[in-house]
Amino acid sequence: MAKILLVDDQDSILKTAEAILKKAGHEVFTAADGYIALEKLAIFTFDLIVTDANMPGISGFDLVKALRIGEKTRNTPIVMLTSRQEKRDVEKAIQAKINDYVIKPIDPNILISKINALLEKASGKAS
Amino acid sequence: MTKSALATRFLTKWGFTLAITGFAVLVAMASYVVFEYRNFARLEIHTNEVISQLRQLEASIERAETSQRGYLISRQLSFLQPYHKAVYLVSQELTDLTQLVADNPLQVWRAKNLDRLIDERIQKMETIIDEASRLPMSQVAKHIDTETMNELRTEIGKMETEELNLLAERRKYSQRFSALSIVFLIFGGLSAFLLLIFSARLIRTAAKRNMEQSSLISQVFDSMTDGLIVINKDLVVTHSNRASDLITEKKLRGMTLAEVYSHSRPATAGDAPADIDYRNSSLYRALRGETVLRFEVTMGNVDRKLISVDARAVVGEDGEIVAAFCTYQDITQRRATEDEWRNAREAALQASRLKSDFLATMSHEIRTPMNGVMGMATLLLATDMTNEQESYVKTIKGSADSLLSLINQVLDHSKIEAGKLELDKQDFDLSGVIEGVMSLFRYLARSKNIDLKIVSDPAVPPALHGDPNRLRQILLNLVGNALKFTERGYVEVLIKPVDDTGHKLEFSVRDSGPGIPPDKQSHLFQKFSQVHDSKFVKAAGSGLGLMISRELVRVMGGEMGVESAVGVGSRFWFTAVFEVAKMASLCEWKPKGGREPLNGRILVAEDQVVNQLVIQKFLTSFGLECVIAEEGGAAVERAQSEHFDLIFMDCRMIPMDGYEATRRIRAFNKIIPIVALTAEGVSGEKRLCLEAGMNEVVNKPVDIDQIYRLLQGYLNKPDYDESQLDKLAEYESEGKSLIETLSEDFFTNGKALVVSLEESVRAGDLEKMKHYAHALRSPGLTLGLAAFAKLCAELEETGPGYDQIELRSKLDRLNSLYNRACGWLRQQTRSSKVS
Repeated sequence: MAKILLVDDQDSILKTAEAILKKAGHEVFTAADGYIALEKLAIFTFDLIVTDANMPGISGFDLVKALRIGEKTRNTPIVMLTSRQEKRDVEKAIQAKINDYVIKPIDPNILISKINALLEKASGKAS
Repeated sequence: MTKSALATRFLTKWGFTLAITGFAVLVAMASYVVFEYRNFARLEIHTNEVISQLRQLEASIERAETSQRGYLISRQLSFLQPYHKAVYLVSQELTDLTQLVADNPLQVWRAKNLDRLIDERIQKMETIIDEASRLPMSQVAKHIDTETMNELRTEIGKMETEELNLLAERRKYSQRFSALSIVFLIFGGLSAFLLLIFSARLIRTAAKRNMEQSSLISQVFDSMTDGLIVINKDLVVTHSNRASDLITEKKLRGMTLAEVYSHSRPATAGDAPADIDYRNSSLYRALRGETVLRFEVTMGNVDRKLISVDARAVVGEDGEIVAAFCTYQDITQRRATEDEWRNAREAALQASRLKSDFLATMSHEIRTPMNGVMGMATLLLATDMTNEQESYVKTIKGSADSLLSLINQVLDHSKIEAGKLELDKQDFDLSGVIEGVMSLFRYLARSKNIDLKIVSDPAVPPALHGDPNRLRQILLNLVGNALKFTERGYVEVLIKPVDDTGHKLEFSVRDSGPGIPPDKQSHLFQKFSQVHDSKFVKAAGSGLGLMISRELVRVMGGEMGVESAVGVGSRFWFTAVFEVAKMASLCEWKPKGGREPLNGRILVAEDQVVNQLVIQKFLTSFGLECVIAEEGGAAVERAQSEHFDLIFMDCRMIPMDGYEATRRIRAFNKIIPIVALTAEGVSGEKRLCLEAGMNEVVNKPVDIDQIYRLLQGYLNKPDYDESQLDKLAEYESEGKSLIETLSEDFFTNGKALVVSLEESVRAGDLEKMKHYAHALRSPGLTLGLAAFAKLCAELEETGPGYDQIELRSKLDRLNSLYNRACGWLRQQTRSSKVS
């Protein structure tokens, strides 16, 4: 079981991803925008972060940039949610040093398998 | 104007007036003082006269008294003679005194008093003298008294004192005035001197300025290459510059107009110079208020000059014409150059035409043997040969092919130059032409791993009337170029109508090639031009392709251009005007196979039997039920009483037209899609249709593919992705199934979002609209509402230059898609519960 932070401005995505991750046995925290995400990140430590790419205010890319600078979150795996239209965003996201991305609409199997792979890799490194 | 300049102007304007006024006041005061001074001096003399008169009077009286006493004592009559003389003098002097003091009433009164006292005294003396002759001395003596005499003396003393007082007073005044007059004299002299200096300076500055100005003006005038003459109202030349003197060969300044025009040109060459009536001159006419513009005259006695003349009046401040000026331009040289240039151009064009003719003939002549070479090579290829031989023959054929295409280009070029390029006119299938071009390049594109694709706007009419071969030629050239230079990425052909009519199309060929530097772009369409750069060495060809293409486009009534960025790619575009193919050719089109049948009931309001048949044929071929209404009224009736999934509405029907029918149907049915069928695309018709409440406009002749796509969009259930729901089916959220939770959110929040989106469009707030579209797209995607999500995505992509009408029709579709999506979701959740 891992502690996961979900960041997305769209309620439907939050609910869907939350339901999927909960069913997979993870502890899920949600944030409706980048500011809330940063607040929660200041209080808790997460094993993995799932964030939307395009959000008003702090965008997903800015969030990732910020996280990669922070001591605590530098090595936290990040999965980005992108749209099919935002092909360029995927490239941008990879440049922003995310660990993986999932194209919306979320396919539960893809999301779970990607997250589990990342978590395994992280725990392998840790141990 | 600066402050100091303003001050100077004020000084020159008012300084003099002020100075002169001051000076006049000074003079007036000085003369007053001098006058007064003189007056007092005269009065002083007068007073002195009065005093001396008084003293004389006193002396005379005393003399009379003394003489009288002498007589009394001596009793000698000889003493009486001076006495009488003295008495006579006294009366004389008294009269004089009275006259002298006539200006002073007090003195007059005193003089009268004196007169009385003297009278009394003389009376007494007369009495004593009389008594003395009769009486003894002792008795006489008692009459002698000194009282009257004393009184007299006192009175004279008083008068004298009065006069002396007056004298002192007057002296005081005259001294003051004399001092004043000295002061005024000094001041007057000083100010006169200052005034003199000031005015001298002013005059000098003004003169200097005038000098400078006129020298500047004459310098400017003289530096002009055009001649300039200014005359005043008296017909005298006030200004003339060097150029005008040179042109007219006279020193004009100071001449009268008549003199200027005397002997100014020979009547005919060789004749003696003749006078011209100056009243016909431009200057004279300009002075009469005419503006004489640009006429040319020949002037000069020796060298004949061609002069361009331009004359105008100069209007003074009061609106009256005060002068006239006229400019002369010697255009002899210019005209000669122009003629030379024109001749040279004519000659060059002639040479170029000859060359083109020669090229055309030659190209044609070369083609004949080339055909022989190619034909034989083709035949040879069909025979049995060794591999080596076959490869040789293929090379021959390949070389012949490129040679022939080169010759064709040269031929086209010379046709263009000779203006002999003509277009074919025939109906053709646009997609056939494009497909033909693409098929030629597909192999090459695949081998280079380049994505070759066509994007055609649905509004592009499929059948056109024009020259398909020339269109093909242009496309071949552009696509060929794009493929030649592009090493990876894509080459894309885009076709879209430029305007509502659909007659003018824009074709563009976009690639992800190396791009063309901006400075090279302008040379692209010139003859024999290629972008010479190490990156482009692979390019081979005549360099005529683009130039010919552009000419072809021009003949087709369009334009051609390029947009390119180095490292990004290029976009070559051109427009061309076509006619729409005749109705007859429509029926020849065979519906392409492989269309999925559609379901639905369609009402067609159309009054022309042929059109009814065509559209009915189309619709039934799609598997649709088709009901025909002969005119608008009938369509309204049927739409009211029966159920239809869509209405095709012809616009021009009698008695009720399509617009009116649509308005009436919209009064009771806002949802049913109504598609306008318009004949020849009249501009503005689309707007009329949409305003009447129709959803879309289709131009006739209708294209079967277009109709199918359109019907698919309206009739097919929205493109739902059920698999997406299946994937989410097992998950739960908030105590319910995830799908249920999301659906309920979509039902409640979705509606609000759609409404907000519409409001933001109405308010013209594009950013907000995009925000709402984004918020709708996410749940749409998650819930598998693919069509809905796609429309949201389209709305999100709306650019600033969007089409209002198009956006509004998208909003209508969004509404209907949302409602249908809700219905579908309800159905899905119900069925999943049941299962």
